[in-house]
Amino acid sequence: MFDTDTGAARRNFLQHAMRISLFMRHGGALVVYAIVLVSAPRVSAAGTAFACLAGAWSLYRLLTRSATPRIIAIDYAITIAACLALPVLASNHQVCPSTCAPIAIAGTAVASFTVFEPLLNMAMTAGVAAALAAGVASVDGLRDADQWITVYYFTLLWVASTFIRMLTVRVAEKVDAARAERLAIELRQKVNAAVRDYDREQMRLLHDTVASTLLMVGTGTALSPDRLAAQARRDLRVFTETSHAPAPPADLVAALRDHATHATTPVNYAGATAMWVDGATAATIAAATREALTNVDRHSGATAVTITVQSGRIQITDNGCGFDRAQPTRGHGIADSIVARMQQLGGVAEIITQPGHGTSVELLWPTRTSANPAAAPDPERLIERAHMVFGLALVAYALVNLMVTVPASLSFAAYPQLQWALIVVTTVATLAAIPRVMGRTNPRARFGIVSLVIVALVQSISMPIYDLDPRLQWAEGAIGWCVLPLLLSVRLSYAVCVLAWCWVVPAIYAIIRNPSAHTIIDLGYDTASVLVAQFCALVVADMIRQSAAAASIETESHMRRTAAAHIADAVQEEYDRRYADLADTIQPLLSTLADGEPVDDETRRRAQLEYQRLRILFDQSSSFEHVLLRELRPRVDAAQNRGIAVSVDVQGTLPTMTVPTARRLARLVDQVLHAAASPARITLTAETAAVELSIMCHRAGHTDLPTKSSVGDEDEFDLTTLDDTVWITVRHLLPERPTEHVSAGQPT
Amino acid sequence: MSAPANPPEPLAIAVVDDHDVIHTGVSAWCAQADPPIRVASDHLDAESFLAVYPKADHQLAAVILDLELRSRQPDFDAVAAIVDAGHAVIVYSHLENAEVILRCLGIGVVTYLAKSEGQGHLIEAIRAASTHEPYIGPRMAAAICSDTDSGRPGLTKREREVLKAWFQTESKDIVAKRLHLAPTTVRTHLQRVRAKYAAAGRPAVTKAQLVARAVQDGILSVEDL
Repeated sequence: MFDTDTGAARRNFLQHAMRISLFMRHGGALVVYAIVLVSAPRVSAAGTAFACLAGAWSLYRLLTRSATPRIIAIDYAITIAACLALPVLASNHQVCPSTCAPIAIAGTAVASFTVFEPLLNMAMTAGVAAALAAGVASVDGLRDADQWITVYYFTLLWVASTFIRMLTVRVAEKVDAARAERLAIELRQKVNAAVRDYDREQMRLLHDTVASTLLMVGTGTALSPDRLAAQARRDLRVFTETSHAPAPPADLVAALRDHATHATTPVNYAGATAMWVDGATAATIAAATREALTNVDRHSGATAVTITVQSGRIQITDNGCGFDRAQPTRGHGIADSIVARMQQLGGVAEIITQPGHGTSVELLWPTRTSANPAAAPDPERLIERAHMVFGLALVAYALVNLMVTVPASLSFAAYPQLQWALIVVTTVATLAAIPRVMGRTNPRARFGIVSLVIVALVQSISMPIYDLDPRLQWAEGAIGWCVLPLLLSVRLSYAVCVLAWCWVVPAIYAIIRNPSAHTIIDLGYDTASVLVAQFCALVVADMIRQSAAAASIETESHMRRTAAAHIADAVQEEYDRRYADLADTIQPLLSTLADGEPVDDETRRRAQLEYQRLRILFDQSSSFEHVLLRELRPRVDAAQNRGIAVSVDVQGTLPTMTVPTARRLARLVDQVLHAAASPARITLTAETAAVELSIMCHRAGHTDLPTKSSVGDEDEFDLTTLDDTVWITVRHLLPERPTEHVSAGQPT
Repeated sequence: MSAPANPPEPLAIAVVDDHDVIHTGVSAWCAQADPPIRVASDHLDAESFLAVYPKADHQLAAVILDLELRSRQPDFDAVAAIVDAGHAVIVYSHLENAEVILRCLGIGVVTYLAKSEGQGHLIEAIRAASTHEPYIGPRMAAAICSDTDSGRPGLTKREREVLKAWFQTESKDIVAKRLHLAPTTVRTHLQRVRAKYAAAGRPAVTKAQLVARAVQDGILSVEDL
C-alpha cells in the first residue's frame, strides 16, 4: 500500500564503500609510484615520467574523491597502462624483481574494484590480470617463479573482499526490506492517527457551532430571527472555512509578505529571505505579525517598519513614537492577537518600547531541533549485523591467509618448534576475536592484541639474517590481518598504532639486518599492498556506522515526505467520505437560516434530521472502527434517508466479534428501523463476553416487529410496547466465552 | 382575615454559557414550562456569575452551567468554584463521556445533562433541584452505571437495571412496564441511586447533599420529599 522501500541502507553502504575503495586504490598506487621515483636513478626517464603523472593523478583523486563513472574509467585505464608499462619502464633487477611495482598496483586496484557489482568486478579484474600478464611477458618474466610470490596474496584479498561485499550488501538489502515493512506499519498508524486527530478537531468544531444551532432550531426553541440568522451565518463561515487538509509546509517570509500587504507604513525585510515551517505555524505567526503591523499603522506614526526573520524569531521594529507599557489602554490587540497566538505555538511575544523610542515586537516560537544522527534508532540492527558479517569474514580471511603463508616458511625457517608455537598462539588469538565480533565483551581484546604484537616481534627476531625473504617473514604479511578483527571494537587511533606496530617491527628488523636499497624498496611495495589494505579494512567498521546513520536519516526524511502526502490524501478522502455529504445538506439549511427566514415545520424537521446525523458522527467517532458500527452505518444512513432520526450510543468498549455476528445484529436493527416512525434510539452496551443491543422507537402503523433474536439461540430477547412506543433489547452472548457448564457436572 | 391567594413565585434560575443561542434556548424552554420558570440572570462566564451571586441565594433554584466556557477544554475549576459557593449546579454540556460526567458529580454538581437530552430533562432537573430532590438524566445514569471507582456506592442489581434501562429508553413509563414496576418506583430507584452517589462522593456541604444523605440513611424516604 505504501512505498516505503528506499533501499537507503544498501545505497549508503555502497556509497561509503566507494570512498574506501578509492583510498585503497590510490593510496596503494601513490606509495608504489613514490617508491618508483625514489629509485629513480635506476629506472628509465620514461618510467619516471609515467610514475610522476600517474602519482599526480592518484594524489588528485585522493584529494577530490569523486566517484563518477568517467573518472573511474580513467582510473581503470591508468591501472591497465601501469600493468603494461611498468615492467618495461621501471624495473631494475638489481633491487627488485620487475613485477613488484605492477603487481602491487594491480593488486590494490582489483581489491578496490570489488566494491562494484560482482559481474563488473570480475570483468575489470580479468582485464587487469590480462594486462599484467602481457606486461610481464614482455620482459620475459613469466617463468621466474620468484616474481609471483605476492600474486597469491592479492588473489586471496580479492576473493575475500568480493565475499565481504556480497555479504554486507545482502545484510543491507535485508535491512532495507525489514525497514520498509516497519515503516509501512508506522506510516499506516501515523495516517490513521492523523485522520483521527482531524476527525476529533472537526467534530469539536461542528459540536460547538453547527450542532447547537441545529438543536435549538430542531427543538423549536423560540429564537429571534436576527439572532438565529447571525448564529447561522457564523456557523456557515466556520463550516466552509474548515480546512480539510493539514496545512502543507509554507514559506513564512512569503506568508508575512502576504499578510503585510494591507500595511500603509513602508515595510522592509531583513534576515532570512525564505523560511519553511509547517503551514499552521506560518499562518499563526503571520496573523500575529499582521496584528503588530496594524498597531504600527494605527498608533505609532512610524515612517518605516522593519521585519527581521530568523529561525524561531521575528522582530518587528518601527521608528514611531513608542508607548508607555504601563498605560493599560492598548491591551486587547496585543494580548489576544499577538501574545495569545504565540502562546498557542508554545512561544512568547515580547514588546520592547518606551515613549519616543519606537516599538519592537519580538515573536519567538520553539523550533524543532533535528534528531541527533548519532542517536538514530536502528531497530533492524543494521550496524550490528553488518559488523558481525564483516568481522567474521575478516577472521576467516586472516586464518586462510595465515595457512597459506606459513607452510612456505616452515621448511626453511630456523627454530621450527618456535614457529609452530607462534602459529598456534596467532591462531588462538585470531579465533578469540569471534566472541567479540558476535557482540560479547569477553575475552578482552587487549589480551589477543598483546599476544599478536609479541608474536610479530619474536617472529622477526627469530629470523636468521640470510633468511630475510618475504616467504619466511610470515609475521609481516599475516600478523596484521590476524590482529585486525580484534581491533574493530577499539578506538581508531589505538587500532592504527597497533597495526603500524605489527608492521614496523618486522620492517625495522629487516632494515637493521640488511640495510640495503633492496630491503627498503621491497618493504615499500609491501607497505603499499598490505598496510594500505589493512588500514582500509580498519575504517570499514567505521564506514558501516556512518553509512547506517546516513541511511536512517535518509529513510526518515523520505518517511516524513511520504507521510505528509499520504496524510493529506487520507484526510481529503475522509472529508469526502464523512463531511462532504454533510456539507451538501447542512449548508443549504444554514443558508436558509442565515437569510433570516422564519422557521417553519419543514425547516425544523430538517434541522432535527441534520442534528441527528451530526450526533451519529459524534457517536461513531469514538468507536468508529468497530465491525458492528461499520455494519450498522449503512442501515442507519438508509433510515435517515427515509426521514427517521436515529441516534446511536455506545457504552463501554465493544468486545471483538465476527463479521457474520455483527451483520446479523445489524440486520435485526434494520428490521426494527423499517417498522419505525421517527425517532429511533439505538444503544449498544458492552459487556466482557456479551453485547446488549437496545432499540427504542415509535412504531409506524401495524408493521411487523421481530419476536425473537435472529442472532443466536442463547440470546436474551425482550420486547416491550407501550402505546406506539417499542423497546427491544437483545443480549447476545459472544462465543469466546468458555462453556463452563459442560464440565461443571462431571466428576473429575 | 385571610391573605389573598398569591400566585406562587415562579422558580428562578441563572444560566452560565458562552453561547448566546443556549441562553435564548433555555429561556424559551423555561417560558414554555408549566408553571413557567424565570431566568433571573444570564452570564457568559463563571466569574461574572460569581460576582453577582458570590453565595448561595435562596432565590435561585439552580444554576445551568456549560462546561466549556471560552475554551474547548472542560473548565472544572469554574464548576468547583460555583459548587463551593453553595449553588445547586446543573451542568448542561455537549460533552457526554462518562469520565467528564463522573468528575462533575464528584465535584458536587446536582445533575449532569447532555445538551442532546433536551427540554424535558432540563425542566425536570430544575424542578428537582428546587426541591432538593435528586434527579438523574439518562446519560448521567449510564455514567453512574459504568462507574468502577472502588469508592463508589454499591448499587443493587435492580438499581443497575433501572439505570441502564433509563439510559436506553429515556422513558420511565416503558422502563416501568419492562421491569414490572410502577413508574413512581422507577423514579424512586433513580433518586435513591443519586442520593447514594452524592453521599459517597463528597461530604454533604450543600443542602441538596444533606437531604441526599438523609435519604440514604433512611431518615427521610424519597416519597416524603
